[in-house]
Amino acid sequence: MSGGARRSALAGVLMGVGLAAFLDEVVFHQLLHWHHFYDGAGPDAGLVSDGFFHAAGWIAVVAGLFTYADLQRRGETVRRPLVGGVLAGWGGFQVYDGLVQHKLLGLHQIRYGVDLAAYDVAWNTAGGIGLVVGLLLLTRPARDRVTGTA
Amino acid sequence: MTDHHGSTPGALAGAAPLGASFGMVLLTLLLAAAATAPYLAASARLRGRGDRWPAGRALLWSAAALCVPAAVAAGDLLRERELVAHVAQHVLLGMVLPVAAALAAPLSLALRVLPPRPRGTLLALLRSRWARVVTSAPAVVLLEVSGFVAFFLTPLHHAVAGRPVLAVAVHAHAVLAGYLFASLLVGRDPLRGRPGVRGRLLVLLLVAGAHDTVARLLVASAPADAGVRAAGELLAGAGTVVDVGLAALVMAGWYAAGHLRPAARPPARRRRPSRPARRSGRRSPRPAAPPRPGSR
Repeated sequence: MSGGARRSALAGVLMGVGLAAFLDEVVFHQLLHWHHFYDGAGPDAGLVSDGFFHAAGWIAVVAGLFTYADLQRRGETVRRPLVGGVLAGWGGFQVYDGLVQHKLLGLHQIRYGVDLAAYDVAWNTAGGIGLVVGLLLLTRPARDRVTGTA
Repeated sequence: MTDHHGSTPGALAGAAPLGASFGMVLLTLLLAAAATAPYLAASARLRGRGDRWPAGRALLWSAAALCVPAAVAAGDLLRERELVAHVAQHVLLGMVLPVAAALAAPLSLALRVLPPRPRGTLLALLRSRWARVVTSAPAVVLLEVSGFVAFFLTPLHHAVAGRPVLAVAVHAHAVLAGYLFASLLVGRDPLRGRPGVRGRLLVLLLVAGAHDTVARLLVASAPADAGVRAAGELLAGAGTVVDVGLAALVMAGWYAAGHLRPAARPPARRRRPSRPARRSGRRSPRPAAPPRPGSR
């Protein structure tokens, strides 16, 4: 991969992770109130994981946006690794949240008072598809196509 | 540690007047004025001799100094909700004050106006081995994280009540560690061993993650206590705001310095043999190349 493609992938992954964290925060915490800051469940290890992922999500979205802005002003954005990175970052974060934080650490669930199976399948399948498609886009050898302001 | 006396709803009904600490507020206001005056005098002297010193920095320094009386007042206004008061004071003294102070670059200002002898002492101190250890990234993370972990996750925050010397020591540690942390990330003072952008984002991640975790562990220590929950959520919310702001400042500095970086970092340029390799060390003080319009 050229430098532009590599940095496009990096910007994509950062923005994807940030997007997942942002959606989680805004949709599930603030709008739907399905999630809570502390659910009264789970071991301390889960809280540590939650705390660091919360911080990582915000830092990722800021770093990703600035990296993308830098690519755009140089006219070095390469679309395929950028899109692949966003999908892989979002899907990877969602699958981590769904499998490790929800199930392995038992930290919190998607929603309470309902049968979880459908939610879990939808959550992890969506994330898994994003992760796989993103990785395919990232690993497929591609001719660099320059988009943006150049 | 469920005894947080934090769950008295409606304790703030009706503006609680400043009580016993009215005198303390006045005293710290005087202290803040005493800390601001030399800064203003020094920046006025710089401008008087034709040097540039942005006025915004003087504002930031004044804001930092005002955090001290504000913290005393907040502690008094929130005295019915002990833990929330501690969090408010931590936000003011351990987070807002250090970031504002670091952006005001007080050491740089001092180095530019001090007479030769004290200036030499300050420089020697900044260049000493001791300073190099204390301002290294691992030491800064350790100092910063240990401060708020010890304060909120041990009975220390109860112990400061009625022990002014201990309270001042705890808050002084928070201010100084916070200054080192903020200065390492976004400051302009000449600190030894300031890492590059990735290193600084990693430092931020470690401290921000630990801070958010402490807020969660605090709530988990007494989940049924509304006061503890409010305190934990305030701690995490303020942490998120400050961390996003710090990340944006780090990245904005990186973006602004973008013209100093080579266009792309080609590991092995295939298909474009004609372009010269332009890799150079990070932060190499190359003269600003004119922007390359449409580099391909």
